[in-house]
Amino acid sequence: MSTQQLNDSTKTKTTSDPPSGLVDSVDNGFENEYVFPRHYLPDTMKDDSKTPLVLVACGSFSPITYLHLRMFEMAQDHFKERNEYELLAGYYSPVSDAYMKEGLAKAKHRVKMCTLAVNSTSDWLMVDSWEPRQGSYQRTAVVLDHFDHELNIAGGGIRTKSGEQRKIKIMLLAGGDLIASFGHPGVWAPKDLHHIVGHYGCVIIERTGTDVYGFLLSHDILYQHRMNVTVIKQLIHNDISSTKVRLFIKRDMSIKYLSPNPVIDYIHQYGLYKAKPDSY
Amino acid sequence: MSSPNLIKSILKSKNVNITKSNFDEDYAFPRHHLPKILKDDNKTPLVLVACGSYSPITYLHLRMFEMAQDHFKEKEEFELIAGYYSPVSDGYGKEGLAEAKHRVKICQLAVESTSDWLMVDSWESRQEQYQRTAVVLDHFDHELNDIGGGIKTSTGERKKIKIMLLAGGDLIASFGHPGVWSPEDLHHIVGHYGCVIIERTGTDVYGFLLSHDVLYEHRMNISVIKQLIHNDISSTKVRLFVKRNMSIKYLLPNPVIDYIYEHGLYKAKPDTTYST
Repeated sequence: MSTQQLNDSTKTKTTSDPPSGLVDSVDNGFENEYVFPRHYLPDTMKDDSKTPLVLVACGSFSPITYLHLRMFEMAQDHFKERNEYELLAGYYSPVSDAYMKEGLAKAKHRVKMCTLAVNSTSDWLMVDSWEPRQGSYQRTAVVLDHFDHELNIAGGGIRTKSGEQRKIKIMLLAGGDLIASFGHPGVWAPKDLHHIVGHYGCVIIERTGTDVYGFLLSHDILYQHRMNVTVIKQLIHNDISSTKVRLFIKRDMSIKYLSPNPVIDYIHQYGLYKAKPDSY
Repeated sequence: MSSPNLIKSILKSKNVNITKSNFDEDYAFPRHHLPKILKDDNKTPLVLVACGSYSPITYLHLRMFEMAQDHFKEKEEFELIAGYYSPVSDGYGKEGLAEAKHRVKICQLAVESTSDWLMVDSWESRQEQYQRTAVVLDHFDHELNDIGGGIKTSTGERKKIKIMLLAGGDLIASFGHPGVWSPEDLHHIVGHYGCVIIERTGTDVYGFLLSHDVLYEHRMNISVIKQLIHNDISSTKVRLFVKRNMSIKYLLPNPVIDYIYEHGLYKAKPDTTYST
């Protein structure tokens, strides 16, 4: 499916043409066939009075760090305090190599590192490799539609205690930097923003010192859908930036305690992020 | 006034004070990660000691040693052979201090599950009264050099191990607070031993060194390491998170988190909680 077609399909919320995109995927070295992960999705809701919720974190994750893992913990704390949603599971969706961002290790490595991180530390987080298997960059709106398709259409949502099937609400989990990018002209199509924030919803982890609420006030589309925007304040300043972690590796500096040990071992085992021989 | 010899004799007498303690084991100075031989005879063997509350220990505390290790690997002068955490005694009376035996245990869990060169010394924490940092460093000097005989070089001679205090910018800034540190202790810590300071981005440690007489005098003994990744996991906030039933995952090693919950540390006191 070309991106032009997908452009039009995101005008409305229907996903009658599931963006399988498997035709687009190239041989990028993934060992197994693609399967949407469901192993931590509960079969039944615990509390029928709540709306079932799944959070999706899109990003490069090159590499994944404790900061990325903390984001989900903070979100979990936040929703535990409130009565509206029952947070069922969380997914990392690493971006495709086609994004061509500087510092991007190969998709199969990034997916593997995310998987090592969540397998060794979590019992509710999973890694979906649909997006990174695509040959071309997939817009966030499209990625969320993919999750909607897998969770609600293919998966049928989740069963309540009383036996009915309920649709799972999906929200994008993001840091303040992603939200700030909504304001950069030309980066996000307005209809995508309406789709992401209006149809789905956003959970934003706000860095101490930044003013997300002020930004929401100033941005027309975000303001329009402000009821769907949840802002969580980051109380512990834990800015482990992947860019810096890559730099540390390049300079042979320690990255211990910034990312789980299995991820660190993997990075060294595969020689990721090392300085190129001809650079000094 | 407090010459090293005087302090050593006070130390020896203080050893008698290790009586009341609810530690499971008797005290023994840890040496299991101390190498037997110096790798490079041209370098001065160095051990770093980090004093603090560690209530609880966090990934920030563990990172401090990693940053120090990177720093000394780059330089030719010292061979960093090991690092020690020295948790403060309960006698310090600071708010938020879990019992010494717990704090020592969680430091041990942290280093055992993650490190092959860091150890935890419980001497200071076993003391009933607060021990000044200068005295704690003398204790390490005594254990490593007097009792332990320093470290052997490849030619068989024994070299004295240099000991330095590893600290964050907050501890160094406290050097400037009148009445907190006695001048002779500062001369002893910075002049006789040395300091490795992890500087937080945005603070100006060098500016502070310039302004402080004793530190400036011994500036050759002070290493300042810039913290390039802003990773401020404060123990105070971690305790608060535990009290409020918030997650502390990924801020400290899992065995430490498990221990905190298992022993009910840092939970809200029954009469301060709100009923649900």
